[in-house]
Amino acid sequence: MKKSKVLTIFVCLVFFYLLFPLFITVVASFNSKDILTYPIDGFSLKWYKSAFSSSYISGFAISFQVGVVATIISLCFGVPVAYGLAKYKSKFTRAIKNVFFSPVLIPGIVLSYSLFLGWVFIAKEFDTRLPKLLVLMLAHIIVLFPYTIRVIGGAFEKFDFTIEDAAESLGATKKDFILHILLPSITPAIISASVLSFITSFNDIPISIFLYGRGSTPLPIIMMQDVEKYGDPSVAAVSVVLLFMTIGITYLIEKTLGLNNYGR
Amino acid sequence: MARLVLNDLKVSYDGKVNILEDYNLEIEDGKLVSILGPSGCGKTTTLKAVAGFLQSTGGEILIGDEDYSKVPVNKRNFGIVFQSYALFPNMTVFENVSYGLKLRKIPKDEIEKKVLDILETVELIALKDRKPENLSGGQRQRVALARALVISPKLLLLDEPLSNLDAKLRIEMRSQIKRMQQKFNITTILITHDQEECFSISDKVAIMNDGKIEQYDTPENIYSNPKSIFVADFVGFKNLLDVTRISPGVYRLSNGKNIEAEDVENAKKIAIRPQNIAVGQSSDSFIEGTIKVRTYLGEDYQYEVDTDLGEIVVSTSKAIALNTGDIIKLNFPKDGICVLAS
Amino acid sequence: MNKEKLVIFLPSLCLIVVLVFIPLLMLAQKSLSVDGTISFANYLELFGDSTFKKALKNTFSISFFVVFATLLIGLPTAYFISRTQGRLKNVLLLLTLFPLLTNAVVRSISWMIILGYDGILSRLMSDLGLIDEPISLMYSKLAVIIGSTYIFLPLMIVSLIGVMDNISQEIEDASISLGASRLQTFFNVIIPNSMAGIIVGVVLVFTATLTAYTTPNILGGTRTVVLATLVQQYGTTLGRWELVSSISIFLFALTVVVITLINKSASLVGGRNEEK
Repeated sequence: MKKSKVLTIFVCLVFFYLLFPLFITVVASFNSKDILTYPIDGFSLKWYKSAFSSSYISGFAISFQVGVVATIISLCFGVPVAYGLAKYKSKFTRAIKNVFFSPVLIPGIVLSYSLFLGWVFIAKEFDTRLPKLLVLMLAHIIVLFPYTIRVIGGAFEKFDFTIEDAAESLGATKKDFILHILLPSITPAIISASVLSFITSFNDIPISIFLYGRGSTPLPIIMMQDVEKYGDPSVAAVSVVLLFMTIGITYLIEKTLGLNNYGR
Repeated sequence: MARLVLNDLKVSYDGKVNILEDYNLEIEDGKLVSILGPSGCGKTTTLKAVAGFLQSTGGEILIGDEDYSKVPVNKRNFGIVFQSYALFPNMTVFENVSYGLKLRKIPKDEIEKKVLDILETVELIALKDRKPENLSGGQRQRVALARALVISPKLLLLDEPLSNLDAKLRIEMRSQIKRMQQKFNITTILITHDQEECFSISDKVAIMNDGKIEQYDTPENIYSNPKSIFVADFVGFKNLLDVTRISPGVYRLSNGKNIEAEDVENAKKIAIRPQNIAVGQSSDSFIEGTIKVRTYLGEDYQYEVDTDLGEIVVSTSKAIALNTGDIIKLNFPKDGICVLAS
Repeated sequence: MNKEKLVIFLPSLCLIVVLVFIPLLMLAQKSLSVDGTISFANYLELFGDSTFKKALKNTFSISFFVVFATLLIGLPTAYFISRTQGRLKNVLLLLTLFPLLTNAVVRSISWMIILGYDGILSRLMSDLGLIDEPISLMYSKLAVIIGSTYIFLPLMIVSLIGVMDNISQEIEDASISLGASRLQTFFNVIIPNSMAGIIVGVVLVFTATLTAYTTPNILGGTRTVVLATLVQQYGTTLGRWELVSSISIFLFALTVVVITLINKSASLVGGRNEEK
């Protein structure tokens, strides 16, 4: 089918709008002067040196730890739930589903503040100051949990549960069934859910606003604070590094799973 | 209205390879012509080119003296019934049928009259406020037909209109299509891969293979007198045997026996239908074989018979029931044989 | 309830109760208590607060504009992508989704460069003779709208492609064969049959903008305050903690109400999905 020229031009402009800003960031990160501007005054790599400075590196380490732990734990909680929701379809599961998806309804910053109140409560009543890193992880688990159920649930919806009976009739125990049949058959979904969860956690800012402490500040928050304070091109340089990391991950997803499984 | 002529039509998807080349077809005014062929033979391409969804790269689409090959789809005024019916899910039956008239800026009361008229004809007046999702397959089909006809098209194009219906409904719907086509006296092209469907209602049939029309004739002629091996095979001549012509009207089979048939120079194969093979009598040219498989087809039995010519399919009436393993004699009567050169 | 269900659902139920419901209840309780007694004083103070009123107005107007803009840009774009085939379609999908995978700071930095004092837009405008002096659009409402539209456009496009992929080409062909132009077909056939995706997209983008923190914080700063940034500013910066809880509860309630309203009105207008 032929497409109209006007539409084609319009869509080209839209993609320019979507992608040109990213291009500007890349260019601005090479500026020789210490201002964020485009076009740049001269070429320099010095901002990449500061991009790998201690504060960004430690922020990266925090975000990475939080991302990995939150992803794994939300999978541990999410996979059984997704299985249960797909297998048992009743009034009860429909109601409970709403409970599990409730974190989606809560604005990140509100959730962040409410968990902060919880932290204060425990500090006051039990005289225990929970480590901020732990609280960050708990908060991120909550944010990731509904995403995990959604992605894994998609795979279970297509799963034929009579296979479970078939396995049983052949002498498999519940454990055999889970390890040999159930988990292998949803591996692609587990991979997508992991990648999606990790990226979501790694990029999320609002959920951490009230929960980070000294020495446990996630990378995006450090970046945001720098942008608010002065905004030299080192933030742009960090952004470029992250952009290429994202391109790498996207490429891997596309190669292994195909994008159609993604983001829907 | 006038007759439709496709004159040296050329169609290509990529500008290099032609899917259709020097394609010619003439349809008399008010006739229903089917284009029949296996999937991938180019019949859908033909329909798309005539409809205008595919821009033809050469040739003419003439209706009367007017060439439509350069006219945009939405100005052609052809009625099309799509394979999936393509009813607009957001509109009621009435809205679906009136859509084309609304676009033509016809006054409201006139639209209403025309739409109600045609809905009356297809017996859908009671369902006019339903959405397509609440209709059965046959009802959707009738809406699609009404929607295509209400714009008084110059040409009606039907793309596999019955393939989504069950067997009983299909027979009902094809006579409905024929009735409507005659009532509106509209030149019609029907695209199908179902031989029975098209033979039953077509004035003429064009059998397509590999982008070309193999034979264009009345259903009766095609049925009894296929002009090529492809057509013979396609219209159910289950037995196709290699022959060499040794003298006018006499052919030698691969097992060395001779048989007589109508004289065709350069004959390559003979074709014969299962029911035209005579079973039983001895004769000069009989062939002996063993029954391998028997299938019951309701009206008759069909047998797969192992012979020195290979497997031959034969059928007999219910009265003569033979059994697997029986050795039988087969005769090819002269008037049941169709001799093919290509 | 059998044992298997218990094993499957109970741990996660506890997780949600402990980490979501209880903290939310504590939040609600705090918003309703003044010096240990139950009182609506915090809410009364909040509704009288001029900064809050401004933030509320900003939040709504920004959200409306962003939904409108993403819909306007998203509909033709999603249609184009859904009618593209093969490799190109994958590439376009990838390019659409890619910005979603980078964090909001990365994506907002470039808008500081574009909208800032003597930035790209300012120079472009002076080249066109629209302005005499370099200007800055940073921290304006317009900056937040432009930035948020940029950030949330992919969400809209992806929601729309989902339904548009399911509108068969034959339906479009049918409309054209009946005499409609491509534009008429887009409005008469494509848009009405994309309603489900439009609603999903509108809900997603509206609630995302309503609760967005990062982009309004970077591009709006303290000059264009929205509810989410107000929560943080009243808390960590200004120390007006007594209001933070009530704004939080208000923002949460607002989100729930908006989602419910859009879905309700959608099922009233569409009606089709409900009938089945």
